[in-house]
Amino acid sequence: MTRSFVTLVLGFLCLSLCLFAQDAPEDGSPGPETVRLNVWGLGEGESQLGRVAAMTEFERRWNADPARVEQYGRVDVVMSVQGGRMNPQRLMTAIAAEAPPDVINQDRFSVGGWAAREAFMPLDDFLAAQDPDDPARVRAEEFYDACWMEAVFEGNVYAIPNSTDDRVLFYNKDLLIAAGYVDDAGEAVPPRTWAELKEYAVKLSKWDASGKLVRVGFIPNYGNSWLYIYGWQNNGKFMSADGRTCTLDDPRIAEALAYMTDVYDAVGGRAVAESFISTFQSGVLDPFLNGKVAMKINGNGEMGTIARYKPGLNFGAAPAPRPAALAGEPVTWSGGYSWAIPRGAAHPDIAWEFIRWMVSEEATLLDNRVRQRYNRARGRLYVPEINANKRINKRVYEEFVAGDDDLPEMYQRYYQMCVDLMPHSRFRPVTPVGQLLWDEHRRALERATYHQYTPAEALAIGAREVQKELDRIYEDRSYGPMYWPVAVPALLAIVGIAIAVVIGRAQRNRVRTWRPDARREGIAGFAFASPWIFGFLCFTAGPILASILLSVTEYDVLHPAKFVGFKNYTDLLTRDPVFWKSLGNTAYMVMGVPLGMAVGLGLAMLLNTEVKGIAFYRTIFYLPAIVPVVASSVLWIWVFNPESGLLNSALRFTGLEKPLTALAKAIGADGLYWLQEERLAKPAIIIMGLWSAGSSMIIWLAGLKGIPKHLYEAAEIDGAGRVSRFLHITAPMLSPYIFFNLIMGVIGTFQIFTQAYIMTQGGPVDATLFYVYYLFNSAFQYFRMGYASAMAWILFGIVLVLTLIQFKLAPRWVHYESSES
Amino acid sequence: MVEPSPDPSEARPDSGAPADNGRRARLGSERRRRIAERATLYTALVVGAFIFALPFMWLVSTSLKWDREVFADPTNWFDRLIPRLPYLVDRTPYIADSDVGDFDRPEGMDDTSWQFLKERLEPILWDAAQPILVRNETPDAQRNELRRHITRDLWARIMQEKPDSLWVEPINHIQAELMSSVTEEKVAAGAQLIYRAIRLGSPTVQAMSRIEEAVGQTRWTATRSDARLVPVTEEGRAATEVWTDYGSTPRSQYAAYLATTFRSPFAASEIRAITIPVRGDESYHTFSAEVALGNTTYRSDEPIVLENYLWQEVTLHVHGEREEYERDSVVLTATGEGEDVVNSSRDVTVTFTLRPSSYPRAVLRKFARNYTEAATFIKFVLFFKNTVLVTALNIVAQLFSCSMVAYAFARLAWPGRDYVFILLLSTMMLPGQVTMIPVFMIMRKLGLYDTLHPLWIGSLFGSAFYIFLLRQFLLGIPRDLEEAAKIDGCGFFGIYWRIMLPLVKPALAAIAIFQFMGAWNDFLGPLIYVTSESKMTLSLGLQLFQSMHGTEHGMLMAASAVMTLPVVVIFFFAQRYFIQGVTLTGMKG
Repeated sequence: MTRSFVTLVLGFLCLSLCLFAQDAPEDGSPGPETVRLNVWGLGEGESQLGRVAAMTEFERRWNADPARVEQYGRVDVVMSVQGGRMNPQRLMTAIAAEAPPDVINQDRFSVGGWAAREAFMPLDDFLAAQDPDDPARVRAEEFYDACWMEAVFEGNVYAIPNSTDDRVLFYNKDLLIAAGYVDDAGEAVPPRTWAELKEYAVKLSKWDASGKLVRVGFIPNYGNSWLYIYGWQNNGKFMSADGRTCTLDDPRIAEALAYMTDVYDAVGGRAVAESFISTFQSGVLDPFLNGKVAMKINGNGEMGTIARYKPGLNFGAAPAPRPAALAGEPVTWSGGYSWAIPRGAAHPDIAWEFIRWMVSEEATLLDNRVRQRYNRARGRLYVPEINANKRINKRVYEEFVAGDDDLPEMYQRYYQMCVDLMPHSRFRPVTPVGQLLWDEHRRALERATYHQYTPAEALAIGAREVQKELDRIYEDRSYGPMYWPVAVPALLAIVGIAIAVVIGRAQRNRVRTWRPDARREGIAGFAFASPWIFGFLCFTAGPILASILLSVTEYDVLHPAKFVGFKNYTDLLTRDPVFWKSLGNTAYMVMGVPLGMAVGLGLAMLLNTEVKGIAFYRTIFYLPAIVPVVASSVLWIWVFNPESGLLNSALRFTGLEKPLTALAKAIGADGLYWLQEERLAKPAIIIMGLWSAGSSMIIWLAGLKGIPKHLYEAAEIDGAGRVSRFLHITAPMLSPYIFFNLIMGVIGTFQIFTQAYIMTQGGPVDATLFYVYYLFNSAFQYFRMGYASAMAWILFGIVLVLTLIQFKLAPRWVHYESSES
Repeated sequence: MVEPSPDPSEARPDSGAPADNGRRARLGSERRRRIAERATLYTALVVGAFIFALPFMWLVSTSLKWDREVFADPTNWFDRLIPRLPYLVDRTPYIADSDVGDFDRPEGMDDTSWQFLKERLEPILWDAAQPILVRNETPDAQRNELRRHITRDLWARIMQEKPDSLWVEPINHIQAELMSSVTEEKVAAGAQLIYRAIRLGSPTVQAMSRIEEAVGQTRWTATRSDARLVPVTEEGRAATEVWTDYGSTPRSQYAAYLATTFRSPFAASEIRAITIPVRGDESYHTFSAEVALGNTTYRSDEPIVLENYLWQEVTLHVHGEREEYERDSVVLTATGEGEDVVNSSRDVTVTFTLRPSSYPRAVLRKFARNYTEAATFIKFVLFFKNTVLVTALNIVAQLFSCSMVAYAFARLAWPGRDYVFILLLSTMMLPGQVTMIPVFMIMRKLGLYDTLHPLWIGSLFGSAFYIFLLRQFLLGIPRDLEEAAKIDGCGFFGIYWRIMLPLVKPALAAIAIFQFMGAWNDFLGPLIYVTSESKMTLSLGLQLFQSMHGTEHGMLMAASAVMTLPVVVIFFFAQRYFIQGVTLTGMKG
C-alpha cells in the first residue's frame, strides 16, 4: 500500500515540477530593456499572415532605430488571436483584472459599447500630438466618414479604422439571362427597386414537381443584409440624433420589415428559406456559387469568396435596390475593424506608434502583398479588402486590383463600384446599447418574418426593450455607489449567523449519534474532506459571496458598482419577457433528462454483455462524446440539414419521414426543418444530446459492474424473467446511480449553453435561447454583470429547490447497500 | 442482459411434442432461443456501432479530402464518407473523369424529345467544342475521353443558363441554340475541370530589398527526349505544357529535367527569391527545384508536390531568412563552392526535376495533405506537450482529492457533514459565468496569469460532480467490510486506501475518463488564462484554428482528428477497468 502510494505521489510531483520548470525560462527571456507589446485580435486565415508580416516589420524597424530603443526600449510584439466569438469574455476579464492587451483590433461596431464604459482610451491627444508636417500622420479627413465616425463616441476618437466593406447586390448573370432579365445587348439587368427585387425573387425561384424549393431567387436576410440595410434604404433611423431615444419602431423601418416579410412569404416562408440555405453557408458550398441562390446582398468580400472558390462564375454586382420613390441615390452599409488601446494598457505610447504603423500605406501594402502571395501559392485569385483610408485604398486598388493581370476585368469593375459606393455608406449607431439594439433588431426580424407578430408590433417591443436600457444608462443616476465596507461585513455577518445556526443543529444531532470512537472519526472526516473545504474557502466562497453582493448592484465590470437594492430581481421577474422565455426554454429541456438516462442505461446494458470485441464496441459507442465541439457542431448542422442531412435521409429511407412530417405539421411546424423551425429546434438539441449518451453510459456501466452476479443467478433459479430481473434486481441496485444521474441531469440541463451558442445562436425566434445563454449575453454582451448575477441566484434557487425535493423523495426509492447492515 | 425484441422461438408452443421427447424439444428450443438472443444482441451492437461511429467516420473521412471534394455533391450522404483516391495514370496530361455526371433531362421536356435529343447531344456539342479544344498533339485515345467528358460538362453549363421555355420548342430550334451556346469560355471552364496538365509560366525575381521584378516570357527546355514541351496560351498568357509518358521507363528511374535560363534584373547575391507559376496535374508527382546562380547551385530540401490542378505560385527562397509568413516558400540551400563569394552574375537557370511517385505514395500524400497543412498552423508537438501535462496533473489530483472527500462524506460521521454536502452540491448550481471574473482575479493575484497552473490547480481540491458520484458508489459498499478491517486494526486511511479504493475502481476509471475529456477539451480556461503561444493547449489551438480557417473543413477535421485520437486510444484501454467489476468478498446476498 505505502509503496504504490509513494510512487503515485512522486509521479505527481514530477509532473507538476515539469510544469513549473516550463515557466522559468519564459519569464526570464525578454531582457530587462525589452518591452512586450501585447496585441490581440488578429484576423482570419490569410489575413492573419498579412498582419503578422506587418507586425514583424514594425518590430524590425523599431529595434533598428536607436533613438526609439533609447527612449522606450526594444519591442517584442506578442500576438494573440482571440478565440472566435468568445471574445467579450476574454477582453472583459482581462480589463477587469487590469491585465489588458496594449492594442486590440476590434470590430468597429462594438467600439461604441466599450468606449461608453471607458474601456478604451480616447486617442484625441495622440492625434493632436502628431507632427503636422509628417505626411504619414493619421488624418480624419483621409478616412471614409462611415468608418471614422463609427469609432467616435461623444466627440472622442476611440479607435483608428483599418478595414471596411460595403454591401451590394450580387447576382448570377446566367440565371438572370435565362429568366429573360436582359437589356437590348443581351446583358443581364439587375433589379433596381424593391418591387422589382420581389418580382425577380419569385421569378428566379424554382420548385420541383413535389413543390420543393430547388432554387431561390432572393432571400432578404441572407449574406449580410439584416433589417439594418432595408431600414436605411427606406430612410429609416434607428436612433435619435442625440442618441437618447431608440427609434427602432420608426414607421419607415416597419415598412422595411414588412417588405422583408413579404419577400420571405413570396418564396415560401422564412423556415423554408432558412432550411434551403442551411447546408454550409460559406466556402465552396455557398449556394450562391452553385446557382441555388440567384441574388444576395453581401459585403464586397463576396468577390473574394467567388474568386477563391468559383472564379469562373458569371456574376454581377449592383447597388442594393431601394423603394421606387427613393431609388435615385444608392444606400449601402459599412462595417469593419479598427485598432484601439484598452484602458490600463501598459505601453500606450508604443501602442500608438504601432497603430500608426499598422494603418500606414506601407504596412497596408505589405499586408496585401503577403496575402496575395499566400493565395497565389494555392492557385487562387486575390481580391483585397477595402481600406478605411481613401488615399491608401487608392494605392491598394492600383497595385492589387488594377495592377493584377490575373484578376478578370469584372472583378476590377465591381471592386471599383464598391469603392465608389463608400461615400453612401451608413453605419450602425454608436451607442452604449449597440449590442442590445443589434439583438433586438434581429429578434424583431425573426418575430415578424416567422409571423409571430406584425412588423410594427415586433419593432415596438424591440424599441421598448432598448429604450429601457437607454433610460437606465442615461437617466437612472439616482443610485449611489455600492458601499463595500458595509456590504461585505453585513453579508459576512449573515453568513456567519447561518453557519452558527447550522452548527448548533449539528451539535444536537451529534448528541444523538454519539458513539465511542466518534471523536476520532469526526477528526478523520474533517481531514478527509479538507481538500474540498480548503479549496472552497480559497477559490469558491469569495467569488460566490461577491456574486451575491453584485446581484444587488448595477455593475458593468469596468466602473464601480452602484447599489440598486432588489431592482435586478424585480426587473427580471416582472419586466423582462426574455427572462421568462429563456426559463421556459430551459424547463422544456428538462424533459430530455429521463430520455437521455434511458438511452445511456440501455447502451450500458447492451455493452455489459460478454461478447467478443466488447472493448471495441464500447469505444465506438463512446465516440460521439469524444469528438471536439468545434468539429461536432459542423457535423450536426449537416446531420440536421432538411434536404441532404443524415437524419432526414435516414427517415426517408425507413419510411418515417411522411408520418413525422405530418406530426411536425400537427404541432404547427412547416416541415422537418430541425434547426430552422421554432418548434423543432429544442427537440433537435435533445436528439443531439442522445447521440452523446456515451458519457452517462460510463457511469451506468460502472454501476452495473457493481451488481453481484449471484443475485441474478439466484433469481434465475427462482424462475424470474428478464423484466422481473430488471425491475427487482437491476433497478434497485442501480438506484443510487439513477439518483445521481437524475440530479446531475437536472443541474446540467439548467446550465445548457454550448450547443445553442455554437449551432443556433439562440434562434429561431429565441427557441433555443436558454437561461445561461441569456445570462451570458447579459454579462458579456450587455455589460450587466449585476443583472447576470441576479439571474444566477434565481437559477440557483430553482435548482436548489428541485434538488432538495429529489433528496427528500430519495429514501423512498433509492437503495443503499450499506444502510441495511 | 439485453432485453431482446419478442423472441419468435419462445412464442412457439412446445406442448405438441410427445412426452418422452419433451425434454429434448425443450433443450432444442432453449438452444434456438439462445441463438436468436445472440443474433439480436450482435445486430443491436453492429447497427448501434454504425450509428454511433458516424460522426467520427465523417470526421476522419473529411480530413482526408480536399474541400472541393467535401462539397462536391451534397445529395448522397453515404458517398461523402469515402474519400477519393488520386488518379492512377502513367502520363501527363490526362483526363480526369470523376467530376462529370451524365446528361440530365431538362425540366419540362417530354420523354420522346429527350430520347431523340440525348442521342445527338454528344456529336452536336463536340462539333462545336472540338476546334477550340483539340490540338494536333492530342492522341486519339485522349480525344475520345475528352469528347465524352467535355460534352457532358458543356450540357450541364448550358442547361443552367437556358430558360425552361426553350425545352418545349422544336428540336431543330434547340439544336441551333445549343450550337451557338458553346463559347470559348465555357469550353475553357470545362477543360479546367477535366483536363489535367503540368504547365509552367514565367519567373518573377525578388531582390533582398523585397523589390520584385518580372522577367518576361522565358523559354523552357526539356532535357529528356520522351518529355516534350508544348507552348500553350491560357487566358491570353503564354505557358509551357509538359507532355510525357512515365510508362516507358521503370518509374523509379524516370526523371525529366525542365529548365529555363534567363537574365536576372538583380545581381545573383542580391536575389532573395524566385517565383514561378506552376500548374500541377493533381497526380501527386513531385518537382525538385534547382537554381544555378553563376557558379553556385541551390537545391530544394523538400520536393514540391503537384497536388493541385490550379495555377500556383512556387516561391524558391534562395538567400536570407525566410519570414514566418512566408511558410509556403521552398527553401533552397547552396551546394558546391563559392557560396560566400560576392556573386555578380546575372545568369539564372532554374531546373525542375519531375519525378513520378509510386501510386501508394501518391495516395499517402493525398491523405496526409490536410494534416501537414494544418501542422503549419498549429504547433501540434508543443500544444500536445502542454495538454498532456495539464491533463495528467488534473487526473491524478482529481482522483486523489475526490476519493478522499467522497470517503469522508459517504463513510465517516462528522459534525455538519450533511450541511457541507448540501453546500458542495450547491456550488454546482451557480453558473460558472458569474464567478469567472473573481476567480480570474484571484489567480492573477497569485501570479498565475499566463501560466498553465490555473488549468489544473482546481483539481487539487476536488470537483463536486466527482465527489457526489463517488459518494454514491461508496454508499453502496456494505458496512461489514469496514468493521472487519477495523477489528484487524486498520485506521481510517487504511480503510480508505486498502478497502474503499479497490472497490470503487470502475467509478475511478469513469472519473479518470471524464476528467481526461474535460481537461483535454477545455478551451475556455486556456482562452482566459493563457496568452503566450508557448503555453497554449490543443483545444485552444483548435478553437483558434477554427476561427481562422472555419471554412476549410478538411484542415479543421484533420486538426480535430489529431486532437481526438489520443482520447479514443485512452478510452479503449481505460474501459477495461469497467470489465473487472467489483468483487465484494464476504458480502452477503
